[in-house]
Order: sequence, then C-alpha cells, then structure tokens
Amino acid sequence: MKKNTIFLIFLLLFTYSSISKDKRYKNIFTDKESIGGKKIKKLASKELKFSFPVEGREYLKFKVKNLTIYFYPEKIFPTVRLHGYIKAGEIYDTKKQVSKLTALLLRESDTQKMKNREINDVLDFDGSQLEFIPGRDWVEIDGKYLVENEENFLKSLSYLVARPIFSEDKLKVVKKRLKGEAKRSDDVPFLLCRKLFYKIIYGNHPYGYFYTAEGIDDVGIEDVKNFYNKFYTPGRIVLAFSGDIKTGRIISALKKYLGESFLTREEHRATIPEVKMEFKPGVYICEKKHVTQAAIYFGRLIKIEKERDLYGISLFNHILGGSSFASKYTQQIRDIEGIAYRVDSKFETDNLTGALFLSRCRTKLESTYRAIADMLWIQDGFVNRRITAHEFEMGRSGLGNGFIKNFNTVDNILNLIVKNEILGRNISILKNFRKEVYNLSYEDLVEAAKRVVSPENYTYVLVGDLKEYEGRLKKFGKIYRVDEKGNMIKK
Amino acid sequence: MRRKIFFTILLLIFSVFLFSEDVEKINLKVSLHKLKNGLTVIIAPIHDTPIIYSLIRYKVGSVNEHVGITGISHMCEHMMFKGTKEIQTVNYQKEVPLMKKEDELFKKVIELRKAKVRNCTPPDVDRKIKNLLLKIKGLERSQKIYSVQNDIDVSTFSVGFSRLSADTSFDRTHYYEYFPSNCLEAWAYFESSRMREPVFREFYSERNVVLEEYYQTTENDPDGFLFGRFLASLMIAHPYHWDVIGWKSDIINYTREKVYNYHKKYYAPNNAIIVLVGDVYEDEALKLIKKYFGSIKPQKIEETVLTSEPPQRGEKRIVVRFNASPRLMMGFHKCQANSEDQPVFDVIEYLLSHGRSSILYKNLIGSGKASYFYLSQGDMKRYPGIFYVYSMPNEGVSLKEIEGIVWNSFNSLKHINISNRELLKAKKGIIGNLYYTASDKENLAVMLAEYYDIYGDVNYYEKYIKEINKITKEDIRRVARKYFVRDNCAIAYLLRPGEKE
Repeated sequence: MKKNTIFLIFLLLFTYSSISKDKRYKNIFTDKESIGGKKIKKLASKELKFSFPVEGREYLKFKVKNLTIYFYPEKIFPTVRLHGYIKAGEIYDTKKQVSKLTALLLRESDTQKMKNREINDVLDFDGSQLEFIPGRDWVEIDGKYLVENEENFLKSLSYLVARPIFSEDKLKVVKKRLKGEAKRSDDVPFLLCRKLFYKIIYGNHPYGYFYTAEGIDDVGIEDVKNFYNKFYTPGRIVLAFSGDIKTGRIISALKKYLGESFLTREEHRATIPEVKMEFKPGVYICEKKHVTQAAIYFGRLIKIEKERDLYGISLFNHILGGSSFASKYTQQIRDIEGIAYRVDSKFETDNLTGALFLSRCRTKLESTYRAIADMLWIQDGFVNRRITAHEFEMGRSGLGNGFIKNFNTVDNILNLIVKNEILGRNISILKNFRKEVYNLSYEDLVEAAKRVVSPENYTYVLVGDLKEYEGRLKKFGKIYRVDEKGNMIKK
Repeated sequence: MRRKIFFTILLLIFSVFLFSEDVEKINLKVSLHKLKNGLTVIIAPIHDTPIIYSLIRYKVGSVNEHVGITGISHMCEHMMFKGTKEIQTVNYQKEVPLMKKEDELFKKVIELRKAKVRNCTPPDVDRKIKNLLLKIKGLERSQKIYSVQNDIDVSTFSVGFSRLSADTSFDRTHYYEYFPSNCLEAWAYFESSRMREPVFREFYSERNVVLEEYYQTTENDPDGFLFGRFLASLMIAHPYHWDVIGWKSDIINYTREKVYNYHKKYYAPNNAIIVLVGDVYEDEALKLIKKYFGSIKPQKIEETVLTSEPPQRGEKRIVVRFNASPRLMMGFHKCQANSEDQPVFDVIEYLLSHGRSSILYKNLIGSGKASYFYLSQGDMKRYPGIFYVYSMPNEGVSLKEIEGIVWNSFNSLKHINISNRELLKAKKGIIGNLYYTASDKENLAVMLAEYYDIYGDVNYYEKYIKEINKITKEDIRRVARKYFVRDNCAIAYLLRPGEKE
C-alpha cells in the first residue's frame, strides 16, 4: 500500500513536470498570427523596387599597380568616407600580437616626410578622421574628410601607410595603452567571458588571443618592422571611397603620395594557419566575486563545406537568436522568463578560417542554469521540428527582406562588397542572397540545425560568482576552472 | 484635417564661409509640418537607396520623473514593444481580466513592501511577496493563450524592418527603425497604433528584464556604476540627479497603472516629433501620417521641472568601491543647451578632446599616463547639465596624478592664450562634424529632431555655425574661469575594496 502510494505520487510528479515543461515552451513555437500582424503584412505587400548595385554602373573598381581601389560616388554632402582593408591581421602574426601592435603603432608613427605631430595637426585642423583598427584577419582603415581637404587627408594616409618610421618609445606607449584597455575589458564580466571563450575555442590559433594582451612584452621594434615590410604591401591593400568623390583626383593623389617605390613593393606569399576542427567540450568557469550576474558564452566551430550551408545556417541563426527581438531566444528567455536583458546567437563567418556558432547572454546568478537549459531546448526545437511552418515562413521573409538594411547608405553597400571580396567570396553570394534565402525549405532549416546543434560538443564558458550553482551546471558537461587569463586551475 | 502651420522647403546650405570662399551647397530638402493635433513631422528625402529611417522623439525622459518613479520613462519605453489592441494579440478582450487580476495581486505586494519599508514587517512577509509574484507569473503565462509572442518584432521584421529599437535619455525618448520604402503604410499603421493604444502586456516579466538591464549596466559594470554615483554627487536637487535607468527600489515597485498614466501624459502627438529620412516622398508620407496619426488626441503638457540645482559651494569628492581597476570621473555643472555659453563649451570640448592633437589626448594618452579617456557633455540639453571627464590610468600611475593632469588641462584654458590656429581648428572641426552627422541618415534624423525640440528651429545649424564662428579666445577664458573651478566640481575615484587612494 505504502509502496503504491509512493509510486503514485512519483508518477503524478513526473507527469506534472512533463506537462509543465511542455507548457513552458508551448507558446514559444506557435502558428498564431495577430490581426495587427496580418495588417502589417497586407500594408507592406507593394513590391519593392530594388536591384543590386552593378560594377561600372553604380560603383567602380580600379587597380593602381597592385593596389585595389573602389569608388561609390554620391553627391549629397561634401564629405568622403573611406573604408580600407590591409590583409595584415592577427592571423598573419609572425609573433604573438605583432599585427595588433603594428597597426596601432602605424597611426602614432612619424613618417619620412612628416612628423606624426604634424599629421595629427593637419587632420585635426581639417576636421578629418583617420584610424587603423586591428582585426583578426585584416587591419581596417576608417576615415572621413571634407572633400575640400582631400589632398591633406590622402597625403597623411599615404605617408603613414607607405613611409612610417617606427620608434621604440612610441611602441612602449602603445603597449601600455593596450594593456590598460585589456584590463578595462577584463573588469566587465561579459567581455572577460568573450575573451575566455575565444581563447578556449581557438586554443593556440591566433584567433585565440585576439581579445587578450598576452605576449605583448615580447614584441620588439624589429618584429614590428619585419611584419610591416612583409604585410603592408599594395597587393594586400583595398581602399573603398564613397561620397563626393572624383576618382581621377584620388588616384593621382594616391600615386603621388604613396610613391612608386611603395606601389611596386615586392609581394610576399603568406599562408594562414587553418583552424583545427576540434571540440573542447565542458563547462569552463571563471570565478568572479562580487558580481550579481553570470556572463555566458557557449558554442562550437562549424565547417562550411558549400555555399548553400551559409544560407541554411544563417536562417537557423536568424530565427534562433540572430534577429534580436524577433528571435526565439529573446521571446523565451527575455520576454517570457524575464531572466535576461540581452540574449542572442551568432553565426560568425566573417573570418578566413574556422566559422563559429555561439550563443550568449547575461543573467542573474541563480538563473544561469535555466538560461542555458532554455537556449538548448529552443535549439532542440529546430532539430525535432517543433518550430512551426508559420515561424519558418516569417523567419525566412525576415532574413530575405531584412537583407535590404545593408543598403541604408552607399558607404555600407560598398563596404559589404569589398569585405566579400577580401573574404575571397564571389559577388554572387551577395547578389543572390535574397533569392537563395527564399528558396530555402523547411527541410533545409532542419538540416542546418542538425549540422550545428550539438550540446555535447559545446564549449560553455561562464564568468561569475557561481560556486553554489555548480551542481546543476555539471549537467552541461565536465566542470573546469579557469583563471582570468584562461589558464586551467587545478583543484 | 491637417493644418499646415508653415510649409517651408529648406535648402540646407552648410557653409564654411569663414574658411573658404567656396560655399558648398547640399541638395537636401527638409520640410517641416504640424498636424492639427500638434504632431510635428520633419521629412528629409534622400533617394540613394530604397530605405527609410524613422525616428519618433517623445519629449519625455528621466528629467520628468520624481523620487518613487525614477526610471519610469525607460520602463515605458520597454512597454511600447508589447503590442496594441490589434498587434501581439489574438483576443485582446480575453487578456483584460487577466491583467486586472495581475494588477490586483501586485497591489497586495506593494502593501507588504510599504510595511517592510516602515519596518512594520508582518510575519513571513518575504514568502508572501514571493507567492504573490509567482501567482502573477502564472497569470502572465495564462495570458499567453491570447497573445502572440514578440509579434511587433516578428511581423515588422518579416516585411523588412530592421534595427527596430528605442532609447531613453534624460530629456527625451527615441523610437527608431529602418524599413524598405514599400513599407511606409505598414510603418504608419504600426507606429500610430502604439502611440494611440499600446497594451502593456507582460508588464511584470518585462520589469524583471529592466532589472536585468540594471544589473548589467550598473551593478556589474564599473563604468556604469561610477557614473551613477558621480552624477548623484554632482546633482543634488535637480532630477538629473539619477541615472536614466532609475533606482532599483523604484523599478521593482512600478505598477502598470503608473506607467499607463505616464504614457497618457507624455506620449501625445503634441509632445512628439516624427522624422523620416531616406527614400520618402513628402506628399505620400504626409497623406499617410494624416490618415493614421491625425485622429490621436493631444494632451495638456505642462512644464514639470521647476527645481533648479543650487550653487554647489565647495568641491565634492567621493570614493566608490568596485572590484575593478581604478578609474576617475571628474566634472562640472554647466549651462543648458540653448544658453549663449553652449557653443563655447562645444569649442572647449573640441580643444580638449577631439583628435590626437587635443589637449587631453596629448596629456593623458600621448604621454603614456592613461590608457583611455573621454570627455562628455552628457545628454542633458533642456536644463543646466554637466561637463565631465572619464579616465583610466596606466599601470603605475595614480588617480591623483591623472586628476592633476586633468586639472592642469582645464586650467590651461583659463590662463594660456590659445593660438589662432587652435581656435580655428576647433571651429572647423565642429563644422566638419556637422557634415558628417548630416551624411548619416540616423544622425541626421536625431539632429533635426533635436534642433526643433531644443532650439525650436529645424534650421538651427545656420545660427549655430554663426555662433561658433563668433567665439573668441576671451570667450574661452571667460567660460573656463566661470565653470572649471573647484567649488563647481565633483571628483569620483573608483577603487577596489580596501585599495588605498
């Protein structure tokens, strides 16, 4: 009798928990459509006149020796925007951090023609702006100027790129600044979490230390000079100008100030270290005291085998967590549960190797387990077809129609085109993006999800005061402790 | 229906006339309209791409709050994404009784909390509050049978909207999005619906989201935490005293009714400015705006901020403890945006912090003393606000040393005769920035809305450029001597627990 009662209670509890679990997620996958939603769709049914910009018509591409230059003219304001790329990012490092230091030092350096102080004075006097931003795969040049100050801007840019004089003293200042910035970002649990996640996922690959300052002290001025000589060559540079431009004027100024000796510099072949498709499963916890939220990053590397993978996984990511407030993650974790302000997923393909799929959020310490469990459950909803046909349709339209947002300025359009080229991709990927997305089927979505979702292979990185919650977190994998530098802490 | 107060096609002619004989002309036509209900509409057609950027500015922000409802403007902003009587619901009428029940339960929570605050705690109060909140959560779950989760976003995104979001500041709240130009009518329907009849469903779970935002931006972010404490020490009487997110104890006690009342009071057409920039045609846009927004009733909007900040009379210093690297915030009270001293502050800001040749960059970063700094005038425009510096020293450099450098930099403006070239540089730089701002659709929209709201003139840049060009070295000395003094200053150090100054 007693045994039967216990069994009955157990059965009831089990049934209740199953029902409540189903109930909890029932609303997240739905076919419901509101009156207002239908109206919005109806009112937006007029066809959009949109065509992809054509080279030679909307934008132009020139070669000056090996240097590639793009132009996209637009004569509304007397301003010019420059986006440039130098294929000299962290992935080409001949020594840890040398790429980052070279890019930052370049902007601070004197040149053979002008002192850095003079360059700054000219740029600031003209109200021009110029920065070199280090990246994992390339160094980005970000500039803007008033068209009347074009000559001064191009002169300054050219001298810095083609004729720098690197000094030990300035290298010291740049190193100090980088260390300070790294410390500042380690103070924010979410940024610390990001750093550790990339470090663990990519290991010894250069992508692994991008967000750190490790190894900075080992880089000397000769390392910088050697790196510069090898990678700052015209064949590795693409410049894209948009706005009130006169192509002839810009080309002749660049020829003049970059100089023949730079434009004919010997190109060096450089190979990139491929990211190894290895998984590092487990829950990596970095304990940070006195914080009230946990920072969460988890995900895995993805192998992109064919172009079509890009579209399918992009759609999966879009519906899952990539479409901000419209995403399933936000609906469940933010709006239903109310346990996070921001939660999203990211399908990172803007790199030369090692595509990555990740999910991330910040939540109260006590809801860490729930937030991760919910994200995994939602992912599973794609694999096991709980996502409805209506949601698939809405997501597909959202991704296809939302692609237009990249066309909000000519500067953005040109940047999109140039970045695509730098990544070695065919322009057809951009031209056909919307069409390819509209051609995706429900089955494509499920297949994409199956290729990505793999909780047992995920690397979970958590930062926070989480000691008392570890018991539950074990369910996601073996617990490892790491310090703020990402080193394993032995028990 | 629409009463056109004035219809001007303004040819924006930005000119750098002091510095160049060439007068640059920009073919951007900006038109300003006023509907009968007081709604202001600004349209700037740019047909370079098939995209429109929309900005709706409501002239309400944290400055309109008082103790007890701090942060409610921001909460209201969150609630504006919860749908209307048509959007985000399949049966609004069925939702109403559930929301009423939720609110009744929350009234009981408030009563218990009041007793707790007065230290007249009934037994088991925390458990009772927890149970009531759980019941509310259960009701919110039940309501989901009739609601469509995140429909505002899903429906608009599916037709091509993007970056649909909002932000609240001290003086205003902005709602914005990009959308393809074939969606203009969908936009008008959607935005007018939530101005007219928003439904604040999911109120209590959203309040938890706001709390998470509070934890994220304040409790767990050293910079956010420092700013909140710094601001509260600098401003003691004026409602700029609290940061936009508000105090935690106020956030947890908002009621749906309070937020509805707040919305009704401030989210009226006569307190709003719509700006459309991009692939938009004036006639078509106005017709649709009139159709969808024209019948929304105006409200009586009164000036609520009568408190002014008393003179400080003495330097203020605070130390904030946080488990992070040391950093400093140091600032002064300043005039409001429409004061004659404001353009002088803009020139001073430029001289101090814009570009590598600026005074603070050279003294802090160039010298290797600090890894990071910024200077800001906050986003306080309507009333006298603040002018402050933030900096993080490099290893081995003390906050005291950084403070000394910042003081010296400010003091240099009082005594040293800056060169004509430096002054000209600042003026050119400011005017150059106007062009850059105008050439970006989002920034242009903000600029136009702000010009009209703060200066009452969508064409304000013309006057502004004249004001900037008139500034003399003596103006800079005068303003620096008047404001950058210890009696008008607050200094905040952030240090680790136990760390010595």
